Amino acid sequence: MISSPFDTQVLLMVGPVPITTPVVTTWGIILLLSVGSWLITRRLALKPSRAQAALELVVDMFSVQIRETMGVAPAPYLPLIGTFFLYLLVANWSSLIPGVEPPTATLETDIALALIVFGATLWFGIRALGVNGYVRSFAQPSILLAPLNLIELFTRSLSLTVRLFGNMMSGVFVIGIVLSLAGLLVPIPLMALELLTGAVQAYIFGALAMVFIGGAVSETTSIQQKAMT
Amino acid sequence: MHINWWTLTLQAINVLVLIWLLSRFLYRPVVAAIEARQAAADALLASAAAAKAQAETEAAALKASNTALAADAERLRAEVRTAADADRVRLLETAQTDAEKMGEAAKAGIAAERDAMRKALETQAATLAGDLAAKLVQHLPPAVIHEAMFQKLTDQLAAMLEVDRARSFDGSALTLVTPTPLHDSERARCRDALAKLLPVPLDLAFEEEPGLIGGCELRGAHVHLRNSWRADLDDMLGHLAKDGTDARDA
Repeated sequence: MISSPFDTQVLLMVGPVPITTPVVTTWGIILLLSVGSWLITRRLALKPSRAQAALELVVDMFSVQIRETMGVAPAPYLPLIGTFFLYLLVANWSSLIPGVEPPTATLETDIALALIVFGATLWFGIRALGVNGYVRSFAQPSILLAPLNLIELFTRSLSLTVRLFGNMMSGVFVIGIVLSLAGLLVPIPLMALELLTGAVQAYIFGALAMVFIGGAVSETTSIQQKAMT
Repeated sequence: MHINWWTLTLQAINVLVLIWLLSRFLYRPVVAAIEARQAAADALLASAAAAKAQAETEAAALKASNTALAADAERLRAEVRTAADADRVRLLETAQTDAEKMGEAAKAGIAAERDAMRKALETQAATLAGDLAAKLVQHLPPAVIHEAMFQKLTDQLAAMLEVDRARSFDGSALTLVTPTPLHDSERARCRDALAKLLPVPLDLAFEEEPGLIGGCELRGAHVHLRNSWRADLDDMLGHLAKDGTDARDA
């Protein structure tokens, strides 16, 4: 159980680098997802098995969500958005395993995820319009809104971090407190609720990432359309 | 609040590595499989559309073929009906012709049989008449009959024109045929009587022919004078036959 929401337990030191619990848990999740994906996708067939059909259903659902939310072809964004959702879902649900704390309940993991979204927004926006064009996009629709747009670029990443961290950390803490007060079986309803919270947070994070990146791409598109007219 | 920057960095790297790994082992193969299935489905649909179009084309061709076959069948039926009608007419005509021929043949056969019967009857009548005449002649003296019949022969000879007599009697040998042998006196008298009537010297011989029944006949190279009962019977039978033929033709 986490003693403090901002403390991370160091398991070992590799030279000057401390290897903390969320890092090790994330390695486990990486191993699980990668090996699981490899096992399922190594024998893909035209007539799919149950596992292949389920996997195709999940990937197709990601593609549909990206297309409907961002209004663009999903291929360039599918690995990023899909991985966010899968990682967050598995990470959030990892609290069901006794002794395992979800990596998303630590601030470093959430900041890292928010920074990746921040970087992806910049990358896709600059890739679409170039550095100058992307910088000018902050002055849309008026130069007076440039400071607000710039602040929003950072604050929405912060909001991503705080939202995810607050929800997951609070769930873990509540379960820990109830468990310490009421015994073994009492936290089970809260754990079930935590399952729902974890799934919702994974979806919200992925959806917001799509919205932020899609906003950059759609601004680029609108600027290009304006330039053409 | 304390932030472990190593952890933050490692977690960012971990997520980026996870993105790469899942892109390599999950999204790319699954998207490729979905696209392959979509391509296969498109190919299958295209193949099905092509097969459907081909089937429709074949169905149209079969329909046209059926129509053509039905037309051919109707034409063949019409031809068969026409041929059957022609055969029926021809067979009827042939049967009628054969019947007519058979009728004609039957009529001809009947006529031939009737003619044969008539000739046979005539022959029998002539034979019977000859027999009757021969039996009647036996009751008369042959000399009297010969004298009377020879007188009639000489009358015929005398009645001939001079020109005809000269052409018929050119001096060649003559034969006087009688049913019974003549005595020498009778032969001399006959020779004298004929010598008076002929314009050339007489070369006369005598023969007997019982079939003449009565009378005599003078035969030569250019003349044949008949004055016998046989000749009369033959004339009468000839007239009877002529009358019968005329009556049948009428």
